[in-house]
Amino acid sequence: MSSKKPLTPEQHHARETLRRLVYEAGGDRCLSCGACVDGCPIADWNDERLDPRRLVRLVQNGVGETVADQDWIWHCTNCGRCSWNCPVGIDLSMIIATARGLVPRGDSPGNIQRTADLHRAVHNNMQISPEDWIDTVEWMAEELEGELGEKVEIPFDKQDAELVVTINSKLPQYYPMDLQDVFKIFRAAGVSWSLPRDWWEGTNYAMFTNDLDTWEYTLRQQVQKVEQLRGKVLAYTECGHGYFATLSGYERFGIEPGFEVIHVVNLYAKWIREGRFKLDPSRNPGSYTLHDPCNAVRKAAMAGYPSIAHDARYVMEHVVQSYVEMTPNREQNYCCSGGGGALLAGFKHARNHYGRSKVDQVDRCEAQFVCTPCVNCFDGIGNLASEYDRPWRPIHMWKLLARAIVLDE
Amino acid sequence: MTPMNRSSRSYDVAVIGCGLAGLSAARQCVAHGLRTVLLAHTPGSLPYTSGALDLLGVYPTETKRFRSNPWEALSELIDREPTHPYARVGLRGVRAAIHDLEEYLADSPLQYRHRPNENMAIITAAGTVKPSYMLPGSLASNSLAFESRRPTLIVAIEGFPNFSSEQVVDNLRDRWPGLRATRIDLGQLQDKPRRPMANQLADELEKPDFRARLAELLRPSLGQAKFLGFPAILGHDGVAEVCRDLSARLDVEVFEIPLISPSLPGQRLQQLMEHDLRAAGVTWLQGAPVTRLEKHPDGGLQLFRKGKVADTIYRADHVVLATGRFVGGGLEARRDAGVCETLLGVKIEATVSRDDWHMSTFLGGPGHLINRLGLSVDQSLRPLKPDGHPILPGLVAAGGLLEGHDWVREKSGAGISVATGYAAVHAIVSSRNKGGRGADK
Ligand SMILES: Cc1cc2nc3c(=O)[nH]c(=O)nc-3n(C[C@H](O)[C@H](O)[C@H](O)COP(=O)(O)OP(=O)(O)OC[C@H]3O[C@@H](n4cnc5c(N)ncnc54)[C@H](O)[C@@H]3O)c2cc1C
Repeated sequence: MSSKKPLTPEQHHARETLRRLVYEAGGDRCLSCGACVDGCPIADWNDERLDPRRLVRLVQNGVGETVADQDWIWHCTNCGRCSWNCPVGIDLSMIIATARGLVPRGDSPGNIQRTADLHRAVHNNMQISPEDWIDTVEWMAEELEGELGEKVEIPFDKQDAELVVTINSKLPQYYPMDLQDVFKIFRAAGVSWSLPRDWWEGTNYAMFTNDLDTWEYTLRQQVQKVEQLRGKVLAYTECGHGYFATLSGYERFGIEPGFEVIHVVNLYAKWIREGRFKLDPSRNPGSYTLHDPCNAVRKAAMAGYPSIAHDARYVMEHVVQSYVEMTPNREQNYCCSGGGGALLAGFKHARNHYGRSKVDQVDRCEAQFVCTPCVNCFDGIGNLASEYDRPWRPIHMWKLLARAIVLDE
Repeated sequence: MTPMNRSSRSYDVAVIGCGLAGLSAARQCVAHGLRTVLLAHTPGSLPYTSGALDLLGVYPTETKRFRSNPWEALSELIDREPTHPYARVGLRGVRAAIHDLEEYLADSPLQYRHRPNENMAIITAAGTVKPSYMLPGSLASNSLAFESRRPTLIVAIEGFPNFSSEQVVDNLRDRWPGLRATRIDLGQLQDKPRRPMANQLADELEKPDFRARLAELLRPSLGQAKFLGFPAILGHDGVAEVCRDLSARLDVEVFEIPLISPSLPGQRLQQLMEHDLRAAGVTWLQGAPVTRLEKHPDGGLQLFRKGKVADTIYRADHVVLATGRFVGGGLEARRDAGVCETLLGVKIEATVSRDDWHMSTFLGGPGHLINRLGLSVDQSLRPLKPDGHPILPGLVAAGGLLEGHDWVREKSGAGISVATGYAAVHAIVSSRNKGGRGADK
């Protein structure tokens, strides 16, 4: 006989929150058909049976609070493939995202919350000081001057520019040379752009612990910054979750900014269509495939935000010589294995397990390079290549585009 | 300004739904050069289907009699049931629609096969036999195996919950003495064993070296077998090559047995058609529902696609409503209002009271009355108000959503969707030729 312990107020809250959410997400239409679990590449990890149907049933059977205790809500990379596959339209990944928010902040695994806290405290999640930011950018501008043989002005805090640009903090921190590619593209496009001195961070990890306070606070700060600069468009950098967190955060928190948010990949494609670049695809020899970032493709499509799937292919056609699709692709694509904060959550074995479907699909298409228009996916794919000892490598889209751009003497 | 543009995009036709009805309609739109957007919430019921496309397998339904000639049965049905979707389309229309799909799918990587005037029989995962009309290559071999009753080995996979070879053999042994069952453990073929799930197994089977090891594992159990039957997990779009390769390695004919859910042959068909429609220029928007459909102030119709920030508005001269039944989301049984069509909120009038829904026999007799409920349409597939007038100008409907059929019992699911999807677009084309452009006529 089990003796029933009374629920703590937190458990009670968790139970009620999830019960409401499962109902709102359409949980009472669940047929237990298993399309969700069959579409999930991690469901069999450690025989834990991370089965989205279990999630729905636990909540419906009145023990939803137990969901928040499971490690599997963190093993899940929130890729949304279960939701996409559900024939009756239940948004399962939303349920997991919410369950994460029910875990007390200090108890969430790894560094996801710490990263979000840093974002709030120092305005980017890599602890880059304002001086370092300016220095790194100027250093890269100088390097670019060397390459181009002409003066490169960085439009720091430029007012009234058409675009205000976000940068994923991993660039200045780990891949500073890539900043040159980014700057080269904006220059070649001939648009007026502005690089903020502050609140330029193009990620938002608070979404992955469902830390609503931090999520909202960081978004509002960035909105304020862009509005101060009177930018017309916030050009969101190659970071899928940052893009999704921004658009869905605006909706969730009722933020109505006076500018538009556009993913840079959609801008690259627009600029190519407008004939702003002279492109030479032979500068990117070898064979390339494209990884569709879940947040900027599948989850964007489900939320009704502009997806980059179509434009990313358009760009690829113009910047590389040989392009092959991996299957499944677009909204059916498998996660890079690093989504949902997984690269920071610490469950390395689960992550690598998850990545098997990705490894298989890249192997099958026989490409040498995987274009990942998302910094997080870049790391996810790079990690898989080394864990599984594969010859293919990830590459950013800005790298391919910048290389292909031919500048007139 | 809102963060997202409230963009209003304009098309000749908007198709709602990516089940077989929506897909067939979109194909016809492409064939007629119409600018088309397809808006779908979910994959609908195709991922559940066997991939075998039924036309009419049983008629009259009470008799439960398999009909060998579907066209003969279809003529009888059209004569007797004027409100049946097939009767709305008419025999010639159904023939044209099915013929069009036959040609398309025969030349596709899925290598569909049919016999002009004959249903084929396939064996299912339950060990039952089901009549159907058009079969993808891997199921055409299933049908050949059953027809020939030659020695056949059915393979189950250890740990894969959706399929038991013993069950198939137990249920069919009387009719097929040369049928045997075996069970293999794929774990020994993998460096890191995974819990077998249909999609993951299909990933493995797409790999030639995995197939080579699988063939060696199976070889000792083959005995006299001339056919080798697997649950339907033999790859994704490469299924034809997987079957060919395994057949060649083992000198047998390999076939698939459809599973209930999730069913790869249905998924393959959906993915193939999605791929081809996108390549033909159809704008494909899946993942969020359409929440409103009404007249556009400047003519035509407008649809609101649900977005997290703001709904996006699409304008179209014509709309094909192909939202399916209860699974697809086109119909809903509301506690207060009875069965309703979900997008227009049309109440589907039940001609009988709920008291008459109950029967004394389990799964008995004529079938449940709720199966026949659906949206009323006219000969041009325009949804009608109770007063007999079209609900919205420019609107047509297709697929399971329509009233007057019982596809489960008739074995007519795919055929109804294909025929009505086709006919709905032909109705649009003929109204355009007469100068009607939706609501502005
Ligand atoms: C379990 C099962 C097994 C089957 N097996 C077979 C078989 O073996 N052979 C066979 O021939 N037939 C089979 N069928 C029948 C058949 O495939 C379909 O049910 C039938 O063709 C109906 O298709 P449909 O396109 O009308 O609807 P569905 O396939 O249900 O598609 C409906 C579409 O409309 C979308 N939708 C609904 N509401 C909205 C909205 N508001 N906004 C946007 N989109 C919306 C849905 O998301 C979906 O994409 C099976 C069906 C089921 C359920």
